[in-house]
Amino acid sequence: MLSGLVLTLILSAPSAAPRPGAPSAPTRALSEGEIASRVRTYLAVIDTPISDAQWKALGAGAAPQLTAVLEDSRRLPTARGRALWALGLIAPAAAEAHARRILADPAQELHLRDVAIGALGQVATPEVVARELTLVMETDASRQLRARAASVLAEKVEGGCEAVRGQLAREASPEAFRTSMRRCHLSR
Amino acid sequence: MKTLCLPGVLAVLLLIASGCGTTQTCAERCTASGGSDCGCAPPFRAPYSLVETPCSANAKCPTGQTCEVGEDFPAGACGKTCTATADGGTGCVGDSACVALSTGSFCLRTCTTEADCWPGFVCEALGGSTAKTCIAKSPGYGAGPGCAAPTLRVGGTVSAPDPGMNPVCTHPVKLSDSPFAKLVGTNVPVGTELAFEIPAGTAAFTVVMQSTAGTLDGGLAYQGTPIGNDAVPTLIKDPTPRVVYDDLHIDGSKTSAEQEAFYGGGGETTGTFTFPDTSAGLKANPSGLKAGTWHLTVNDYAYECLTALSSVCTGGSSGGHYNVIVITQPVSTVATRPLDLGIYLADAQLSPAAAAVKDAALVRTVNQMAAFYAQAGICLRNVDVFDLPTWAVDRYGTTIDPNEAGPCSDLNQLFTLSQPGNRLNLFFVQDFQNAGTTPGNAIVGLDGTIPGPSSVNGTVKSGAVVNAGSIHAGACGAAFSPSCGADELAYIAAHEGGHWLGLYHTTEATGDSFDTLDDTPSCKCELCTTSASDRANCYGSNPKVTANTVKLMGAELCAQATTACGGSDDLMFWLFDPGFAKGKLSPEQAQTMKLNPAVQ
Repeated sequence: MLSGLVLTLILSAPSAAPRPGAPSAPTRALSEGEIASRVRTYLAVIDTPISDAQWKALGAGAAPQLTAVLEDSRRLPTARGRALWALGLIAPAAAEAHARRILADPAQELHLRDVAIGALGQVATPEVVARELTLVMETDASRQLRARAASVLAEKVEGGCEAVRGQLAREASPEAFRTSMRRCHLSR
Repeated sequence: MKTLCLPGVLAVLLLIASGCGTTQTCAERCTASGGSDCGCAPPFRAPYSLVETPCSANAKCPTGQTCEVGEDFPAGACGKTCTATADGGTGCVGDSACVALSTGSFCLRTCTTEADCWPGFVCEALGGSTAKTCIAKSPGYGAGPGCAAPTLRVGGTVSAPDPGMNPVCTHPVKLSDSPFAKLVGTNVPVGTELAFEIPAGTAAFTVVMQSTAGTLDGGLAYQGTPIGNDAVPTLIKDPTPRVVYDDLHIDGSKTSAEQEAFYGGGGETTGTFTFPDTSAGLKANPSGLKAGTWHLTVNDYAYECLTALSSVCTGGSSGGHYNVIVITQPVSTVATRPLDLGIYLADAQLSPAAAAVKDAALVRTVNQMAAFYAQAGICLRNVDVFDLPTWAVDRYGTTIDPNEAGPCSDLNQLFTLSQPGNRLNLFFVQDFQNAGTTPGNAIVGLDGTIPGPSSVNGTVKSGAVVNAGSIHAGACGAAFSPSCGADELAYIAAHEGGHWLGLYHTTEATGDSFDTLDDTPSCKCELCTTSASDRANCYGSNPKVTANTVKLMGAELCAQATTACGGSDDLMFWLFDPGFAKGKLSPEQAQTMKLNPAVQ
């Protein structure tokens, strides 16, 4: 007999990863076909998280497939966004180039540009983050993206809070900058 | 482990002279005896018309066989035992082979084409084997009765004070807006038995327990693994009195579908439990629940840790107190039932609600979602679109961290903004994100609990979140298209709504756990993977496999039209793979959804 508590741990954890406490076994190399299959599966999850480690385990061999998804304008922004984020884990330099290109193109979908801001913060040097995202924070037409850029600046860039403080003075509705304000210990 | 032999040759072969005699074929003898005389020697054994036709009682099966009714054979099948082994198994005779299915090892008839199989079965190779066997087909999915188009309305702006820069954690305790709800206990301590009345003509009841004593989950750990403090009723007894659910004594040898009731977890401070919610429970109560006085015991994991599980659990407490609401769902025979929906706009690109209700993409999303549910005879009726206050859009629109757990997480705090009424609450966000390195945008939906606390809105579990970031993108033709953003959103929303209404994933990621229903296809890793190396990485048979190499059940592996390796076209499959997703719902899934109080 089991308790519901134990069953809950065993059965209902919405995770693609092995259960907690499972010891490790030697890692083997994945074939090209396996990588392709896993990329397709990882990009299709609904509410089951895929961990950083699982993405990274795919290795550089997953980059071409992710890049193809990211560059395919027929794919939905949610799929392309996932591909960009995953590329940041597997091939940071390539992800940075894509993120900068997307941010520089205001015609790209809002969702994809939002992901690009996060991806840039994930993979780029603080200097690049400061340069690229200060521009977004100060000039982008979308308040959501300005605020998102501010939150990454506040987290990733030394002195980022000074830039955020200056932007707040120019914003009519600073509530959107709540995340960066919290990080910078600023009040309205 | 259950085992079953499904011997057989086609009846036509039985015309050949055999141990069954030449004047009366085995088929005829079986038929004449009503199934009691089918003991012909191989290959002239009982015809499928008797040994594999649907059975519902052992009396229908030949001596030595039992009627197996379960996930692998939803229509029922007679059979004997066999033992699966690495080299094919023992205990099967003639033209049958032992195959491990999702609920046990079974002798299945070997075949070359589908013509070799009895109707209702298809000829497939499983588990990487070159030998094909007859596998039961997926159950009938079908279009439901027609529904009128849903009505989109402006719900207004949610009024909630800005909690400021450092918001406190709230876990409101609410009442139900259902006319069938009763508050059966207030501030009741754990360990207390409560009585509640189930009137005649009741199909199901839902228990919603809300903590009046905070979260009480600090330091709670099971064998060193931190856990949340779920509220879960236990010792639920019918009027006879028979225990239909005991959270401390669950028969681990049974699948979740074979248990009479199942609790899915995740109910920190606010736990919801619907009975019945499994195939066994549905079948045990075909015309409704026993009327009379039922009982339950107020309980949570902290209390279990303190008492029955104290040897393996730390941080237990007897401090839990709960308000307990029981909501009954009357038996209904009408073909269609209404379901109201609330959409909350935490996505700035869709707001304000006044514009959103006229947004062609949102209208398409709602209509497509309605089409999915119409299969189940559930008609989306009123769809109220709410604006959230600016502070809430800013706080939640792109920043919910799906890895953050507990009632104080942004996800659960967002749900407290759901408005009074009896509706399914969906919060549309622009993206999932977080401040760290974990890719929050790898998921597109997240629910509070399975099922959700229907009709009890404003709690930390009163909703589900979906990523609406693609709603205006993609190519949208006349029919459902996975490459249409509005349709993708509809699929995700209907999937999360399915969780709210009590449905689990038909197959979980690692192919070793399945939903609570028999008639949905399962997709077991060891059975449905196609190579030995993949099978070696199935978590169910190799718990030492790492996160990096564990085999996950891709949609292509679960695309057979069988009960054994199917389900990627089901709305509740764990993936939305555009190449396979169809959004189907099975009869038992429909039945389960209709037992939820949100379906009126």
